[in-house]
Amino acid sequence: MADPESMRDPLEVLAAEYIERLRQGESPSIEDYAAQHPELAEEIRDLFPTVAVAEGLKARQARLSDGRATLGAARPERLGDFRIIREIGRGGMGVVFEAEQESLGRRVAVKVLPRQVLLDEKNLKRFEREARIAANLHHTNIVEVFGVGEQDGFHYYVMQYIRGVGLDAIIPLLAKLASSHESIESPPDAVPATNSGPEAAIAEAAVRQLLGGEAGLRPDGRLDPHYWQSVARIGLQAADALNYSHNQGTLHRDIKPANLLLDTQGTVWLADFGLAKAAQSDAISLSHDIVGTLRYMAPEQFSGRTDHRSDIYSLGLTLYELLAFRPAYEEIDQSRLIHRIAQGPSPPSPSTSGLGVPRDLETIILKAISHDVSQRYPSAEAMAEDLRCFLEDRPIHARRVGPVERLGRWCRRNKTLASLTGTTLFLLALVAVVASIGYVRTKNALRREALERTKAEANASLAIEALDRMFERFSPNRVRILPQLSMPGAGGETIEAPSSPILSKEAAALLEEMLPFYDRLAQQTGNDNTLRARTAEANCRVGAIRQRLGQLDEAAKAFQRAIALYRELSAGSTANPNLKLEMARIDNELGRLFTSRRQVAEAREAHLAALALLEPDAALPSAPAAARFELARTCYFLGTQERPLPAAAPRREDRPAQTSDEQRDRLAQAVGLLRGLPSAPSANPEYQHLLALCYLEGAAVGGAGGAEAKGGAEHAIEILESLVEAFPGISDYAYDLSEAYARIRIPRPPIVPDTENLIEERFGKSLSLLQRLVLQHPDVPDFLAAEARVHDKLGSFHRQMENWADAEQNFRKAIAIQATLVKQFHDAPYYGLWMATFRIALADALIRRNQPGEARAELEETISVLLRQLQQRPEMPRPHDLLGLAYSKLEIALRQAGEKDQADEAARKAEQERNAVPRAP
Amino acid sequence: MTGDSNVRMEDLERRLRDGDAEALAEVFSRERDRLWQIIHFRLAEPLRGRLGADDVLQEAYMAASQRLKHYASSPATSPFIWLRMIVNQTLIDLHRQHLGAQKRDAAREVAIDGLPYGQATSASVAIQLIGQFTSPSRAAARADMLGLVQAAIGQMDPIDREVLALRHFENLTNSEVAEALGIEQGAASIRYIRALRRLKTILAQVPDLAKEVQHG
Repeated sequence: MADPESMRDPLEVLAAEYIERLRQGESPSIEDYAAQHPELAEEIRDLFPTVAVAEGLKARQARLSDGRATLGAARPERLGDFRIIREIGRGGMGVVFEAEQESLGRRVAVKVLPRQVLLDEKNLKRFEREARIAANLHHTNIVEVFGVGEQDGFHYYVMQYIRGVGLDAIIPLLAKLASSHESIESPPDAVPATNSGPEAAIAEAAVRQLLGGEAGLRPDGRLDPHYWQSVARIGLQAADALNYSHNQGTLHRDIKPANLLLDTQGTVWLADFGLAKAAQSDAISLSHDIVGTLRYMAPEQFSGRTDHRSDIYSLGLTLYELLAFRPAYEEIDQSRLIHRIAQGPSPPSPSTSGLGVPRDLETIILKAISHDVSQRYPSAEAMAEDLRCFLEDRPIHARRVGPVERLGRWCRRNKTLASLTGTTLFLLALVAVVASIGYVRTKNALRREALERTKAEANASLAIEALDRMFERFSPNRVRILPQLSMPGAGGETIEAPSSPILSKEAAALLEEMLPFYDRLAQQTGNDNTLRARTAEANCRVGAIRQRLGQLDEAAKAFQRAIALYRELSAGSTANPNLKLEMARIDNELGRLFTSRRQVAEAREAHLAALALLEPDAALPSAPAAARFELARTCYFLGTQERPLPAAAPRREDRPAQTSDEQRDRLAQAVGLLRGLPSAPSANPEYQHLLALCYLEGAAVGGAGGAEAKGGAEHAIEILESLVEAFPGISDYAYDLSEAYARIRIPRPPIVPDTENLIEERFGKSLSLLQRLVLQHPDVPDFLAAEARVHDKLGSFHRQMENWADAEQNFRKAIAIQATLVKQFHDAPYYGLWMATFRIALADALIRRNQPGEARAELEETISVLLRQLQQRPEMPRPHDLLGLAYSKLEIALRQAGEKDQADEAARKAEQERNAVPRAP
Repeated sequence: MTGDSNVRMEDLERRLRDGDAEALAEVFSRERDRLWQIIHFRLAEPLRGRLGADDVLQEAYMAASQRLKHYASSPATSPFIWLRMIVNQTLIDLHRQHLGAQKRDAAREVAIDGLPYGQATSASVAIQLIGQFTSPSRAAARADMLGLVQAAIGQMDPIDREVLALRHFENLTNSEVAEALGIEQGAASIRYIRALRRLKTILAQVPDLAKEVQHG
């Protein structure tokens, strides 16, 4: 038998040697390797940099992935004059030990940084400089720094030893106490594991001290006032310390609960001054525990601006936790956390916890954590002064921010809203004022005279009107049904795509905020018909908002409530055409809702109800434009129902859609109605938009005369192009235009160069629109999905043209984009199936490009991913067709590579899958 | 490895088979760094807050001394691979024990693909790759990339992925990889190169990563 060593890939043998040298600390030259092994030179140059990267990663890991530092397997027993006694704790920056400074016989705390952290000369200098600055701070509430040292590659930082614990260890104990309604008598058992030992006892004593001895929760569930005083004293000491250091020109930069030590006497100690800056150019780069540190960062720090008010903000957030017993921002996911900190909404008021947080104390803390720097305390001194006022029961200086101002501020910091600031702000203020006054008045009015009642109505109308103007801005009532993507599985089941409303985060947040106003209006009761009509309207808006927020059940309920109210109203006056129009609108909304829940029969019923309300009056040329438009919408909905959108069809070839005559007639009726509506630029652009959509649908129908159908599609593009030009900000128009471009019909070959150019141009336009949409709305999965699909379509076209290089490139792009979706919606098999489709297409292109190895790897992975997915979700129908396709391409790749036996095996499996594909009856 | 240390290792292995506890202590301290590295790499995210690598190492040492008598009967396993197995078993036990309610998940993770770790390796490798991207302005990008890279690594052939992790993050040699995974040395070698190629493609998707690592 051959020596097993000799079976090794010679490249791997070289790589192993290269790795060994890297580990010895050498920097071997890749070019030298290439020169010494010319037969492998190309592969060496190709792969060795990757080897180096993989090794480099490891060399730099110096912390546990929960962010706490680790010193590796080694652990110092003595550092210079300091004899290590025990580990006290770990933070993002290092491990803290209790130690004895033998020459002076005093207890100190030594923070040891991981070895790899300060390898760099520059960082080391900075570390020493910052430590020197910190050592110059002498304050009763700042942990004194004695100096720094180095031994065996460990850099350490010697500080005063405090018999205390970080607030991060205390807050969970308090939270437990507050929620369990236990008194402090029964010692809390939720002591964090790291705090076993003396720290547990210290923490307990500190909690006792905070609560004022034996007093715990009062019977009414509130905390004893002593506790709030204690919190204020903590804040006061910390603010004093900050004020002192700020006056010395030193920022802390990393204030968070873990850096505020509380001793058993109730004294607060600020620890780790300047260490954040000392250890690295930015604190976070050292600390793997991004979330733990980010949570307390001021929004401006993300853009690299830090001043003393950032420290004030972080102190405010730390105190917030003492009031609310939970972090102000609880997001666990980093990007969400950052987004939330940067863009709001602001954290909920701590007083909502029901623990009896004093109003003034809350006001002080909310001021400290204002998003806008200029709204915070101008100095730590000013904050300390207000805390002192609170403690002495004097009036504080901070002013509470009312709901109007808060809404206004919220608006101001949202960039997307910036352009609308003027009107929006005005409207928001109007809504806030009118809705709250209106509500009170309404309530009173119901008990009072009829005269008052009219006022209440007026207020309600005004509020609704103001809200509606805003609502329309953010979420116009369009005809578009959220693209309901579906992918038929084997045997005709459909696998649903996760659908999300095309709504920006900002708009969603704004709508959320509007909801309570509407809700309040919607809950009005009364006998007055006008007031009832307003209530119905409010319910209708609540439904629309909930629908856009994806809360479909609640949306349906609100719509149904609205319809019921209107029915009651119309019982008196059946002839009112406005009422009918309103009801038809709601029916159509309800229909859309059912469609997006795939309740096809219910959807049809709802649209037919709308039709019954509108016909025949609205069909008359004399009917108001709004009524004719609503009828056209109804026809469009009925004409497009029960057909998956072509973009979502799993086959790339445009299959003739199965459209009934009734549906064709409905579309034709819609076109007829819309053509009769004004098309001037001043008219409602939705008329034109719907017309384009009808043309687009008509184009997909085919059958009804090829030439005319083709004209329809071109017409749709023309209309949509002018809409996009006139309304560049409306993403629906751009999205539909991209769809229209990509739906270009590809003729059978041979394709003349002119046609080829046109097709390329259309796909290019489609992609550039989608790319812009994705940039503007990174959270909307439909845009990303569309981009991937268009790349796939374009790739297929290139394949048809036998342009394999471009085909490969487009499939790769589709795959890269799809990967984001698969990751984001890993629970939904839908995106994974599309991914498999793209990868098989890529493999096919690779086979054509004579790269069977890569094609094989691609296919094997695709198959294994599909099989794994099946294993994980037994309820998912087996995608026999995809698997069959993958195995048969694999067979080709294997034959190309000369692996006959394996190819036969793949062929067998392909056959097996293909036979299992359910045949249409 | 020098010839001399080979002889020492053979001697240690013989003594280990005789159940010599002192030999175990010596082997353990020799391999301590590598074993620590394995634990550091494998310790599941939710456990890191509760357990340090040192704690696991200690547990593993206890387990090893209890099972020392079985080493004699384990067929031709080298001391390091045997210790690595014990470390892994200890990790699995600790995961089960500590993740109480999530027991089934932990168990499932362990069984995937018939390898000791499956998806867990993807996650660990991705964290190693992306861990560096930690300046605050890039933290968000980092989170996205972590997901992307994890997905990409998750799609690698499971054995290839394991080979890559063993070579680079557990510091195993090719022959040790072959032994640990029960494959031929030649196969381990080919898989390593193949995995490297994949890694290169993955890294190319994260354009700044390689730069950061080299210059950071």
